Amino acid sequence: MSAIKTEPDMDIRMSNGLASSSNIVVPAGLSETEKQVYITAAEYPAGVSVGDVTIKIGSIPAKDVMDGINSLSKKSLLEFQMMGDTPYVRVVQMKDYAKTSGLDSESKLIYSHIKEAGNEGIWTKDLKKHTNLHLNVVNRCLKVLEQKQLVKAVKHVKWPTRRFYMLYELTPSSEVTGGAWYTDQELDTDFIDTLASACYKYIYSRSFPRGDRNVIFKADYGHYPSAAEVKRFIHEKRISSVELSTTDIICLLDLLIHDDMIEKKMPFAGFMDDEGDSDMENDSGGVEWVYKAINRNVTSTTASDGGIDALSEVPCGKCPVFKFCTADGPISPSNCEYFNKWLNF
Amino acid sequence: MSTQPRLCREIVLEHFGPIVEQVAQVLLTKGRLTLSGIVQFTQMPVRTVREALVVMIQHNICFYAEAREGLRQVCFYSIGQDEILLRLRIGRIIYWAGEWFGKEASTITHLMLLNGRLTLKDLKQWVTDNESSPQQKIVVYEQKFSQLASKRFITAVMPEDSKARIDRQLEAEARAVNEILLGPSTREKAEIEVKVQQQLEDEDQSRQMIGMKRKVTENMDDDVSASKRFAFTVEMDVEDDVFFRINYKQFTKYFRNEAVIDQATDVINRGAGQVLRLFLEQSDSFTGGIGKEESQPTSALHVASVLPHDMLTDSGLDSREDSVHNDRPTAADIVTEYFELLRQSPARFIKRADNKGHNFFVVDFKNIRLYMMRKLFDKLLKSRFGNSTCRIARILIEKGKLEEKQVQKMAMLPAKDTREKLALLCTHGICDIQEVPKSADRAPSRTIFLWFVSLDKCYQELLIDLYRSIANVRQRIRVELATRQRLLEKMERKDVSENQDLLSAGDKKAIEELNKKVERLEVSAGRLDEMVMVYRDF
Repeated sequence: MSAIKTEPDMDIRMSNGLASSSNIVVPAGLSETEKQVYITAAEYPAGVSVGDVTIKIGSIPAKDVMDGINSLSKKSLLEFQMMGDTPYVRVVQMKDYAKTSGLDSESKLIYSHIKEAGNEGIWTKDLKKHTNLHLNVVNRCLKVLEQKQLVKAVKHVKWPTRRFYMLYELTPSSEVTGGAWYTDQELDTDFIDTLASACYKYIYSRSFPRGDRNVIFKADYGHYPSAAEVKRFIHEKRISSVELSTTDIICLLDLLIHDDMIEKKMPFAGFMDDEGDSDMENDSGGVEWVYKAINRNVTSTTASDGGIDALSEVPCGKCPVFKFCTADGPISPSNCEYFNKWLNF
Repeated sequence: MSTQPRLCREIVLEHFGPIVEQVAQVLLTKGRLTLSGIVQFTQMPVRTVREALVVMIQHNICFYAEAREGLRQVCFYSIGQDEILLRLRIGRIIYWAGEWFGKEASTITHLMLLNGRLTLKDLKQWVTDNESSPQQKIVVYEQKFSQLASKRFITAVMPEDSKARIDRQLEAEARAVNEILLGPSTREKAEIEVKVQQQLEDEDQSRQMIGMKRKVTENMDDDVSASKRFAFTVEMDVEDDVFFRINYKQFTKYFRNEAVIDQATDVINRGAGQVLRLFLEQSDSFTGGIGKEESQPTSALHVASVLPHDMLTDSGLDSREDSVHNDRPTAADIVTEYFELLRQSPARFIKRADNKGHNFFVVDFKNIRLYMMRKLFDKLLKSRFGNSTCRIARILIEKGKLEEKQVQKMAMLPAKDTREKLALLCTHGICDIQEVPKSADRAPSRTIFLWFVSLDKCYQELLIDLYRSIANVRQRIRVELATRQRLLEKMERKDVSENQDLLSAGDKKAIEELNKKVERLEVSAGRLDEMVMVYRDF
C-alpha cells in the first residue's frame, strides 16, 4: 500500500526542480553503466524503485542495469530499502559515504541499524537479534564505530543497565533521557523541589491580597495564575536552566496538588452555576485551570502549618513498639522510655 | 485484651475505683452476666458486687435486662462501652457548660456527673448547704437548670435509660413481629428492622423535648398559653422531683458545630467562620439530631438580617476591585459572598438545598466530616512518614488503584524511593496490593500489581490506635500519681492543706513537677479525644 501511495508523491517532488544532474557529483572510478545508474538514482533523494530505474535508462539492457545497481551497492554508494513489496534504491550521501566507506560489511550493517533507530537508540541485544551476528562480532564492530566517533552509547532512563546506541551527532530523545526532570539519567529531585517551591511562592503571592492576613479575595476573583502564567514566571525569572514545556509545569503543579499545597480551580466565568459543570467536563481540554494556594499560613513548601495533630504529639503516635505495648507486658506505658523523655522535656 | 475494653477499664478505674473496675472488667470481657455469674468471676462478696452495679447503673454505664428462663425471672447485667467512652468528655462538658451558660451551669453539670443523676430538689439542697448566700443563688441555679434542660443539654431520666439499646431494639422488633400473623418473610424482617431503628431514633429525639414540655404544663396549670408562647425563652420550669442526667449527644453536637466553625475560620477566614456560625444558629442546627447529614435550609437574607454591624465595615473581603463603584457593600452582599466562598472552598461547607428555592443553602455535614477526617489523616501521615510518603498515599487515595510505575511518575520520585515508601505504607497497613494475573498460571512475573489505599479501613484502625493511645496516657497518669502517692497523701492532710509551708522545698518541687506532667498528659488525652470525636461521633 505504502509504495503505491508514495510513488506519485515522489514524482511531484522530482518535477518540482529536484537535483538537476549538473549538481550531482559522481564518484570517480565507476563504469559507464554504473555512472548512468548513479545519476538516475541521485535524481530521487527519497529513493526510487528498481523497476523505475530500468525504465528510465532505456538505452542499457535491464540486466546490465541490475548488475550496475548491485555493484554500486557493493561499493556502498547505493542502498536498498523495502517499501511494501517493492525494492527501492537510494543514493548514499557523500558525507555518509565518507564515514562508512572505510568500514567492513558487518560494521556497515550495524551502523545502518543504529542509524535507523534514530534518536531513540537501539539496545545491543536488539542489535544482535536484528543483524543475526554473533555477540562478539557486534561488540567488536561497536567498538570500532565508537572509536571513529560514528556512534555513541547512551543510558536509557527506563532501563539504566542496558546499553543503547545511537548516531554520534544525535541528541537523545526525551523518552531516553526522561525529559526535563532528569539529569544524568537520574531524577533530579533537588531541581524538582526548587522549582516546585518557586511555583508555590508565585501562586501563593497571587492567592491572597497583601496586607491584613484576615482579608481574602472574593469568590469571583479572576486573577489566580494558570499554568501558562507560572511557566512565563519561571522563564522570566530564569529559575530553570532547562527549557520547560507547559506540560512539564502542569506536572509540577499536579505535584503541589498532591502535596495539598495548592488547589485547582475552574477559572471564574460570570455567575456560573452547578449546571455548568457537566458542560465543562466535556471540553475540559479547552479550559485552562487556575491554581490557588490552600493555606495562608504556609508560606513555603518546606514550612509546616504550625499545628501538630494530637496523635503525633504523644509518644505513642511515633512509637516503634506501639503494637507490642500492652497494659501490663514487658513494654507498657508504665515503664515507657519515650514517655519518660517526653514528660521530662 | 483488645483496646476498647482496656480503655473502658481504665476510665472506670479512674472514675469509680478498683472495686467497680473489677466488676466492669468481668462484664467487659465476659459480656452479659447474671449477678451470680459476676460474683463467681470476681470472687467478691455479693453485697459489694451489687453495690458496684448500682453505682454503674446510677451513672448510666450499666444496663440490666430481665429474661424468663423456665420458671424463673433472671436479671442480666451488661456494660455500655460507648457510654463509658463518652465519660472522657466530662472535663470538656463542664468547661463548655460554664462558657455557654455561666459558672453555675458548670457547677450543675459537675454535680450531675458526680452523682450520675440529679433532681432540682437535690440541687437546691446542695446550694443551701454550700453557697454563702443561698436565697439569691437558688434562683440563679434554678434558672440555669431549666435553661440547660430546655436546650436539652440535660435530659430527664427514663426507665428505658437503664436498658441497653439492643434490648430495646429486640423488644420493639418482637412486638412488630407479633403483629404479623404468620412468621415474617425476609423482606418483612428487613423492613421491621429499619422501622424499629427509626422508631427508637424518634423516641430518643422526642422524649427529651416532650418530656420537658409536659412537665412544664403540668407544673403551671393556669399558665399554659404563656409557657407555650415563651417555649424558647428560658422561662421554663423543671419539676423538683424528676431526675436529670447529662445528654452527651447534645454536647457532642455543639462540639461538632464548633469544630465546623473552627474549620471554616481556618480554611477561609474569620468572617467565614462568623457567617457559618450565624447560619447554624439561624437554621436551628444546634437543636437537630446529630446523625443528620445536613442542616435545615436557610437563605442568605436570613443570615444577613442577623449579621453584626462590625462585619459591615470589616468584612474580611478584598474590596479593592470594587472601589470603582465606591459604595459600601450591604449585609446581603457580604453574606452572599461568603456563602459562595463557603460553597467553593475545598471542604464544601454548604451546598444548595435540593428542594428549596435557588437561594437556599444547607450545611453539608457529611462532606465536612469527610473533609476533616481526610485532613487529619493527611496530617498524621505527614508527621509520621514525611512529605513524600504522604504524597504517595494521597495520590493513591485520589486515583484509586495504581501501578508502581504510575505512582512513581506522578509523585516524581526515583523508582527506588517509591518502592521503599510504598513498602513502608504497606507494613503500616495504610496501603495494600491487589494482584491482577495476566495468565492462568498466576506467575508473579506475568502479574500486574496495583497499589491502593482503603480509607475506611485506615480510619477504623486509626480509631483503634487512638483508643490505645488514650489508654496509654491514662495509664501513665495513674502511674505518675501512684509513684507520688505518699506525697499526695501528705498534701491531703488537714494541717498541710491549710498551711502549705509545712511542705519541704523538695516536696514543693516534686508537686510542681507532678502537676506539670499530669497536665501535659491530660491535655494530650483531651486532644486525642477530640480526634476520636471527628472519627466516631461527628
